[in-house]
Amino acid sequence: MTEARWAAEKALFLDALDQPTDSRLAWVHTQCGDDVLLCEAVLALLRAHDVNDTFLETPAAALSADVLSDVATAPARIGAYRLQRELGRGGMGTVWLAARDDGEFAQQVAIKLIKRGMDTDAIVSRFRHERQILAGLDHPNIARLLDGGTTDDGLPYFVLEYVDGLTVREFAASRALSVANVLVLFRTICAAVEHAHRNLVVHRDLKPGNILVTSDGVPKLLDFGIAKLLDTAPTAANTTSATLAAFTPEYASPEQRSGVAVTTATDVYSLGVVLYELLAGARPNGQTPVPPSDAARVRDPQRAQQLRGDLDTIVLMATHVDATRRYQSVAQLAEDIERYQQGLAVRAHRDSFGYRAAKFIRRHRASLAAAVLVVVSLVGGLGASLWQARRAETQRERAERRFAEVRSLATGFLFDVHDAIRNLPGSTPARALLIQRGLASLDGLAREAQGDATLQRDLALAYQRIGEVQGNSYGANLGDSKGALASYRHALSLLESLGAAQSSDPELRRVLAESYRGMASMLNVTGDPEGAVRTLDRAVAVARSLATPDSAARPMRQLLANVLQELGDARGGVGIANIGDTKGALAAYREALGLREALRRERPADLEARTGLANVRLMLGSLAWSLRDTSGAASIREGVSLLEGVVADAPDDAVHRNELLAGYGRLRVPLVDAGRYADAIAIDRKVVATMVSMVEADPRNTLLQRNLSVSYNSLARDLRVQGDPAQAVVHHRQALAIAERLRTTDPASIEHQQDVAFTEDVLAEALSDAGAWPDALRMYARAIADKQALRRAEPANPWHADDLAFLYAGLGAARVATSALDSAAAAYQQAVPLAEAAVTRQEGNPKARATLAAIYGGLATMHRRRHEVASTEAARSAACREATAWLDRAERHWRELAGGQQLTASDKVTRQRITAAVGACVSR
Amino acid sequence: MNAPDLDAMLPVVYAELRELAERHLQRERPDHTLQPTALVNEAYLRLQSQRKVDWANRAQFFGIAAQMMRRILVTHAEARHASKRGGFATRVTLDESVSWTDERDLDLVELDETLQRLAAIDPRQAQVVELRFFAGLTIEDTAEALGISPATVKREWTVAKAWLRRELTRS
Repeated sequence: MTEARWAAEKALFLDALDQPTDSRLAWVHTQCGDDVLLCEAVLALLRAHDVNDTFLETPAAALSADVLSDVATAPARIGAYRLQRELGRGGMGTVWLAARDDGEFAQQVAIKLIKRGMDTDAIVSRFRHERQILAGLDHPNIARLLDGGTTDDGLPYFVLEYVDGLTVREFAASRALSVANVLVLFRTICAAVEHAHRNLVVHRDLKPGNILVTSDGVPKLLDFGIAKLLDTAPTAANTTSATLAAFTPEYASPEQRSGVAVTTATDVYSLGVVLYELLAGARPNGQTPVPPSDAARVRDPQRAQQLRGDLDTIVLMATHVDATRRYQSVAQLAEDIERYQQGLAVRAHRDSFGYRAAKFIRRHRASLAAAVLVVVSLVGGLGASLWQARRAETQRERAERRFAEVRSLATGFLFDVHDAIRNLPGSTPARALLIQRGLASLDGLAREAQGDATLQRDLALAYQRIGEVQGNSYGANLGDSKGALASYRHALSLLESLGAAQSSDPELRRVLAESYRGMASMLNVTGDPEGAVRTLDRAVAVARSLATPDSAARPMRQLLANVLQELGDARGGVGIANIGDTKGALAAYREALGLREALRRERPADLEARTGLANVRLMLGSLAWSLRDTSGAASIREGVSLLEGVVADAPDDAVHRNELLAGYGRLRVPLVDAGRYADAIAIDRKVVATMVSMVEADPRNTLLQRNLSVSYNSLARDLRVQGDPAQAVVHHRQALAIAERLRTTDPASIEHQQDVAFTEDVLAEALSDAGAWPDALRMYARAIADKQALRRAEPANPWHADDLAFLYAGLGAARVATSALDSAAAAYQQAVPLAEAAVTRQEGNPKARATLAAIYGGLATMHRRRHEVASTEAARSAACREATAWLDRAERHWRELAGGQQLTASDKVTRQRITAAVGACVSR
Repeated sequence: MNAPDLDAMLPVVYAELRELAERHLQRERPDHTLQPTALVNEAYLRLQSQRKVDWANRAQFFGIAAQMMRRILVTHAEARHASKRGGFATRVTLDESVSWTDERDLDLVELDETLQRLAAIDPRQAQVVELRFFAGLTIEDTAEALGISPATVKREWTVAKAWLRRELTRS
C-alpha cells in the first residue's frame, strides 16, 4: 500500500466514525464512489474497529507476565503422576509430560490440565458418565484415555497415552509425502475414526494437532471424546462461559459452529478439511469452495494436476457445507478414496463450481465482503503466478505460461466466478472488485504484449468479455457503461492494430464483430444512438464477411442476424432508444427475418432458431404496428405462438419463458393503444392460466410460482387502470399469498422479500383506489417495514431508498384522504429527502423526477386540506402559501419533463388532478 | 550537555529492562500483573542514578524504552515459537487449539511483523502503538514522548488498532 492510499483510507475512516452508526455504511459507499477497493478497505477498518473488546489494551508486558506466571503455578504432581515438562498449551489449558512415580513402571503419559474458569463440575460428571465408553476405545491408531479427575486445586485433568510423534501435517511436510502416500496414511486415519463411530463416539475436534504420526509412520488419534466432555452446556447462571465450545474453527463443520447437534457428519467434514490440507498444502480458506487443486496451483502445479478431477470432487464432497450432501459415513469416504486408488470411478459427484460459489455466497449474503475476498484471492493467486513466471522462466516458457494464464483469465475462472454470483442480490460490489482486479492484470499484460500477436488476440477477447460483464444491458450487469466503453475501446484498438477486419482468422473477426456490438450497446445506453448505429454498421459488415453459406458458419449467420436486429433496434426499435430511422430499421429487420427464416428451415426443431425468428417477428410487428400497419399485430401473434411452442418444448428455460412473457407484453400494446383494455386483460388472464397450469405440472418449481405471482400482479394492474380496483385487490392478494409462501420456504432469498414488499406496495395502491383506506394504511405500513428491512440487508442497493420514497408518499396520500394531516406530514417528511436523493443519483431519469414531482404535489394537496380545515385566518393563509410553494416546485419538474416529452399518461393525470385540487386555494 | 549517544546506550537500556522485567516476574504474585509503566520509569530512575545515561529528557527515554520492551517481548515470544516447532518433539493436542469464543491469543511475533508494515506507511502511528502497547504508556505520556497533543494520540491509536486488527485477521 502506498502512503497516499493509506492517507485516503485513514481520512475516510476517521470521518466515517463521526457519522451516525446506522447511516455509516451508506455514507462510506457514497464517499468512495467508483473506488470499490477503497470502500472495501475502509469498511474492513470499520468492522475491525467495531469489534468491542480489549485488543491491545492490555500492555504486552502484562500479557507476558501472565504467560510466565501460570507456568509457575502448575502443581508438581497430579494423582500418581509427577509432571515433567510442559508439552503445549492452548485455550483449554496446558498439556504436560508426566510419569508414574510408584517405581513399578516407568510409564510416561500426557496429562491435560484444564484451566480455571471452565465448568469443572459438568466436566467431571460427564467424564464419570463416559469413562467406560472412552476407556473401551481400543484401537491401535487411537491414543487411549487412561484416567481423569480433579487436582487438589479442583482443576479437571485427563491422563492420556503419551505419543511421541509429529502432527500429521508436519509429518507429511517433513517426509514430502506423495499424493499416493498421503492417501494410504489418510485411510488408516479414517479406519480409526470409523472404529470410534461404531462405538458411538464422535471425535468433534479432528485436526492435524490431534492426529500424530510416530517416526514409524503410525498415525495415532488423540482426544477422542474429550471435546464432548469439555463442551459446556448453556446455563442461565453463566452465559458468557456457557458459549465455550471445545472445537477448532478452522476444522469445525458449519453445523457445529452454528451450534446444531453434532453427528458423525461433523467428523467427516473435519477429516475432509484435514485431507484438503494434506493434499493441497493449505487449508480451505474459511468455507471457501475452492477445489484443492486450485489451492495447490501456485505452489505446486504438478500436484495440482494430480488433484484435479476425482480428488477435488472427493474432498469437496467431504467438506460440503450441507451435511446431507457429504459422505454419509467415514466408511464411505474411505471407500471412495480406495476406488480412486484402484482407478475406479468415484461415487462423489461434482458440484459445479458455479453452484458451489453461488451457494457459498448465498450463505453469506449478509457479508459479501467474504465473497469479495474469495474472489480477489483467486485473482491474486493468478497475479502471483504470473509474477513468478516472469522471474524464473526462460523467454519461451514465459511466453507460453503467460499465454495460458491470459487465456484462463479471458475464458476461465474470472468469468466463472462472475457468472456464479451475477444473479445474487447484493453481489454487485464483489463483481465490481473482481472486474477491477481483472482489468488491472490485463492492463499490465497489455503493456508487455506488444509484438506478440497471439497474446494481443487473447487480450482483445478478454477485454471484450469484461466489457460484456461491465455493461451488458440484459439484467445482471455492473451498470458500468463508462468502464464497458473503455474495455471495448481497448479490445477494438488491439484488434485494429492486428488488422482484424482483414484477418484470415475468422475467430479474430468474430471478436471484432462482438466488440463492435458491445460498444454499440453501450453507446446506446449512454445516450449516443448515432454512434451506436455507426458502430453496428461496422459490426454488420464484419459479420457479413463471416456469414458464409457453409454449414460450419451457422453460428456466424446467427451472429449476423443478431447484429442486424440490434441495428434495427438502434435505428427505430419500438420501446428502445433509437435515432428515428424507421425505414432503415424495417430494412435491417427484414434482412434479419430472411436469415432467421433460413436458419429455421435448416433446423426446424432448433430452439435458438425458433426463438430468433420469434423475436425478429415481434420487433418487426411492433414497428409495423407503430407505423399504423395493421399487419404488425399478426406478426406479433406469430412471434408469440412460436415462443409458446418453444416454452412448451423447454419448460424449464427461464430465458425463453421471459421472452414469451415479453411477447405477451408486445401483444398487449396494440390493444391498450386502442383502448381495448378488456382484450389486454384477456391476455393477462391467458398468461395467468398458462402459469397456473405450469405450476400445477411442476409444483416444486419456485421460479414458476414466482412468475405466477408476477402475472397475477400484471392482471391486477391492468384491471386497476381499467377502473376495477376491487378486482385488482383480489388478484394482488393472490400474488401476495404466493410471494409470502415463497418467502417462508426460502427466508434467505432477498428476491422473495422484494416480491413481497413490491406486491404489498401495489396492493396498497389498489386499496387506496378502491377507497379501502384502513386496509390501505395497514398495507402501506407492512410494505414500509419490509422495505426498510431490505434496505438494512442491502445498504448499498439504492433502489430500496427510492421505493421507500414512493411508499411514504403513498402513505402520506392515504393519510390525507383519512384527514390524518399531521401524520401525513410526517410521512411526506420521510419521502422528500429520499426522492430528492434519487433524482440527484439518477441524473436525467425521468421516472425519478416524476416521482419527486408527485411527492411535491402530494404535499401541496396536504397543505390545501390544511387550508380547508384551519381554524384561524392566519393558519389558512399560511397553509395556502405552503400549498402554492410546493405546487410550484412540482410544476417546475413537470414542465421540464413535458418539454422533453417525458411525461407519461399517468404522470399527466397526476399533474392535472393535483393542479386542479390546489388551484382553488391559489385563486382566492 | 551532549546529545546522548543512542547506539551506545541501547545495550545498557536493554540489559536493564530485561533484568528488571525478570525480577518483577519472579517477585510478583502470579495473579498480580506487571505494570509496564512502572517498569520503564524504574529503569529510567536507576539508569539516571547510576549516571549511565544522560538523557535530554524523559520523553526521549520513553521512545527508546518502548523499542526495547518490544524487542524483549518479541524475542521471548519467538523463543516460545521455536521451542514449539522444534524437531521431533512430543506433541499433544491443545497446542494449537483455540476455543471459539476465547479471543485468539495475541501472537506477538505476528503483531511485530504487522507493525513493521504499518511503520512503512505511517511511522507515527507505529510509534504510538509501540509506546502504548509495548511500553504501556498512558495517552498523556505518549503525547509527551512524541510531542503531539493527547487528542492526536487518541485518534492515531484508534486508527492503528483498527488497521492492525484488520491486517491480522486478514492473514
